[in-house]
Amino acid sequence: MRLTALAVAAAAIALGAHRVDAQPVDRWPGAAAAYVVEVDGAERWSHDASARLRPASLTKILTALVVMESAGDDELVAVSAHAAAAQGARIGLRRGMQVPVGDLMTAMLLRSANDACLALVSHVARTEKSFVAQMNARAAALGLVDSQFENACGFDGPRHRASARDLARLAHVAMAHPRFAAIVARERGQARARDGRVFKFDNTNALIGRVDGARGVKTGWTQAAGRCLVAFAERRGTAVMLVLLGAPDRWWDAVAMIETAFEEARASPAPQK
Amino acid sequence: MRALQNCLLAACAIAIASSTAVAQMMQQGPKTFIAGSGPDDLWEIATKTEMSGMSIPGQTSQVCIKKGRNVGEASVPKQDNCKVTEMKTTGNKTTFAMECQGQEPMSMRGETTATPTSFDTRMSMKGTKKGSDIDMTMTSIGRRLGACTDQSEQAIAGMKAQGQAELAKVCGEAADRFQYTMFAQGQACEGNRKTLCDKVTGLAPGMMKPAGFRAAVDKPGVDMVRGSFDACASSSPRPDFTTTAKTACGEAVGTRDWAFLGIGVCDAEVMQQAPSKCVGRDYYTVDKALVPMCNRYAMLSRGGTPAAASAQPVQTAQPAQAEAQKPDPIKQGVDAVRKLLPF
Repeated sequence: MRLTALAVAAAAIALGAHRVDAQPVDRWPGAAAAYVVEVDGAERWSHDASARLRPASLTKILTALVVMESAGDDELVAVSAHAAAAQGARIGLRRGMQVPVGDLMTAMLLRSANDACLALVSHVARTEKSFVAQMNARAAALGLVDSQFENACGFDGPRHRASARDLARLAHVAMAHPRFAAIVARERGQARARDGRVFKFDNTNALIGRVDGARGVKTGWTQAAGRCLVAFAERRGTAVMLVLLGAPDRWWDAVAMIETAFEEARASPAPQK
Repeated sequence: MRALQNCLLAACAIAIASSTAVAQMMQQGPKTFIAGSGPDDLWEIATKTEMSGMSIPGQTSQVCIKKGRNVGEASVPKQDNCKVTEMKTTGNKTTFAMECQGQEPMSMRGETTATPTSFDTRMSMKGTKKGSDIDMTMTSIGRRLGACTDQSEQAIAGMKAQGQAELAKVCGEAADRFQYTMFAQGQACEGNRKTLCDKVTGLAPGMMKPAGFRAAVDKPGVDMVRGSFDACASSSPRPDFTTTAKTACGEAVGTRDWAFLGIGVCDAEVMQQAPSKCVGRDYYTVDKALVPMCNRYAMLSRGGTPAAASAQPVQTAQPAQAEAQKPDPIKQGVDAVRKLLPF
């Protein structure tokens, strides 16, 4: 109950903070199929920010939010056969293993592990379908008008869509959640099964530890979606949020966008409110 | 002569009794006299005010009146719209009247009975204040207690010195944080600019090494330090941020301190060094020691604008010399690289 209240409060803060001060311009043509760069919650640059595109594993930001609002970090999750058989990125969970929610969250967010993702889904909801219903309800509550989800972990699907602007809004809400923010800021993580087995992995977000002030949040990739990224960085009180969908050279472009955003914010600081 | 003296005392009493500022100083402020001896006169004054039938608690204070002070003129309440319309002295009794015009017109009438050692003043005031009618009666009874030494000038000088000491402290802290805008023309620390400039000129030699430069900009940030250098452009020796940074950048190239090149003051060096070390590599595979320089290069080569180009200089007392428009070597380099590389 308290978690739900916290999440609602965070969402309210994030939605309140989100604003478009002036018509954003496409400063980085060709960098991505769609992108948004926000400085202190205001859109600075964007391209096709409302286009409904494939979000790939950026989906897991919402998955994490729904899980955090339903389960505590120390709860043990029994890995189902369905989760253990997950395709794509995985850490190698086996059927019957018991792993704490917090560790699975770390694996899902840092390694983008689909086996951890599906294990969490089966812990929180009876079926993935009912979990996805919760995700869509949460998305609607957050005002994500250009997003719709049909699976929990980001696999491509005909109606599995999100816009760059919606993902920025979602990321603000998630980052306001201390459990989420603490996980996605790490360079590496581990998940420890109750049988003693330890799974170690690096964060797929290459900006962490490489870009000054980078504190999150998530990568995504599928053949159809291309390279995707939500990144958040903070320096000297200025916050930059970046969403790239379908970005062929996402790391170098992300670095250029983030560094430029900070540089320009430094040169023309926003007026004090 | 005696009549004049009485009149002066009465006027003094009026002024003291009706001056809120003086009353507050007497109540709360530092003691500005030494009682018991000295050339001046120590008075005890009891005031009481009634307003529209409501009695306001009275107060008794001691005040030291400086000998020879022209209290007659100085003590009449000074308001541009007021003038004394009547003042008549008969024996030791003086009657007076005053009219004030303007947005809050007021008429005052009173009388005072004074001797060299006492006075008794009663005054009534009628008028309007903030749209409401005012009908106020004020009584002041004074008696001379003896001699005193007025120290108000010393007290004022002391307060001024204390204020200056506090300002110096604030400005010292501002200099430590390189808050150069506080030293700009018309700002609180304008007169203490030497504090900032001494700090800047003291730091400048050490900042010619990357380690000293890093240490100096670590907390305040490059922009604050750069602004402080600019604010002290008229100091001797003249601190020159560009030359200082250039020297540190050259040292960093010599020692292969690539991370230093990424801090934002070595863009010409970044454009020279980064292509061979950053271009064509997967971001994951770039050595961490190179990453700050490569990040900077990514920004410069993909359309970012160095903030330094648009930073606003601090306004100083001396007008800045206009600089001729020069081609920007960094921008030229960026444009040239953009044409050549897909990076």
